Amino acid sequence: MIDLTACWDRIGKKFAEGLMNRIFRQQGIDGKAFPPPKSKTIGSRKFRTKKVAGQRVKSQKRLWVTGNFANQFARSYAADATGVWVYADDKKMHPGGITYAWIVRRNSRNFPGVNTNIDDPPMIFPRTAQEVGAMQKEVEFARYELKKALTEHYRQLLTPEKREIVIGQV
Amino acid sequence: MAKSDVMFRITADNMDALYSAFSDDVVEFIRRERALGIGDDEIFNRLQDNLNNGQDFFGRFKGAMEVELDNIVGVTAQDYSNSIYAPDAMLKWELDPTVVNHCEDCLRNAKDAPRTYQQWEAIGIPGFGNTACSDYCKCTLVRV
Repeated sequence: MIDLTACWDRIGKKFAEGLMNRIFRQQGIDGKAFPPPKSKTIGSRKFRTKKVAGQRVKSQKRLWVTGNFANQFARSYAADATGVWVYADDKKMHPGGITYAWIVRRNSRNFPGVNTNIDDPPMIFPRTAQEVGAMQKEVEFARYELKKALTEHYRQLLTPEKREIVIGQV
Repeated sequence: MAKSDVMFRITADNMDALYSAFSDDVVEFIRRERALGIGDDEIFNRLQDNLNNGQDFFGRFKGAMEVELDNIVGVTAQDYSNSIYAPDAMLKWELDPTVVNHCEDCLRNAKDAPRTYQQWEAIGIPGFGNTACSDYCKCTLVRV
């Protein structure tokens, strides 16, 4: 079996960082801008985390106050020899006391449990093949990396050092 | 990797099969050249020429690889999103709220009674080509 774990790891990192950066850019995976939070949401809230413990924090960004939610995506991928998983963690808890996966389900319009109080909710995590395909730069990166890795793999088979291995075994 | 509905996988499942076919072609080439009395040094040089010029089985492998890479996203994401449920969980066909016009098959499936994943698999789960919208289906199965 060909082991492309290192290549899949780079691809997973690209997709995961793509999800993270879209939160920071306030842009859905379909390219649409996030609608701003409603004024009652923008009102200051108290947080329990060490970083902002006891402080009242305002945010006019959707899904971004401390950056914890966006940043978790950068770590949420797992590569193996044949592919890579990209996910929102269903076990790790956001400091607010809920899982990151729950946040996605509640805030991404392509999930059945999306909060109906959000006007025109954004698409923050893909579910279908077409939605993954909408992350065009990441998909193109994946194709480029795989092609490079596979081409290098079979070129390595025909270096003079491998000659005895390739021809000698026949 | 424990499954969740907030995950997707990018994979190239056919890569091993492609490489096996490619390896078989290389072995067959070497045997054929030897049967013609060609020495190993010359065989190796010819292999390298074919590689550098993208000829014969290298060209075929490269073409097959590019087709496989075009399909790396495929239905993988939707498959894993839909297949996370226990075998006896009752699932209903949920129309994607972002789609304006659904095909008749999806509209019919959405009105049908809930089924288990296996029962839906027999009819055709979303995105696997059994509906008029085929691979473009954005519906999903949701536990009732």
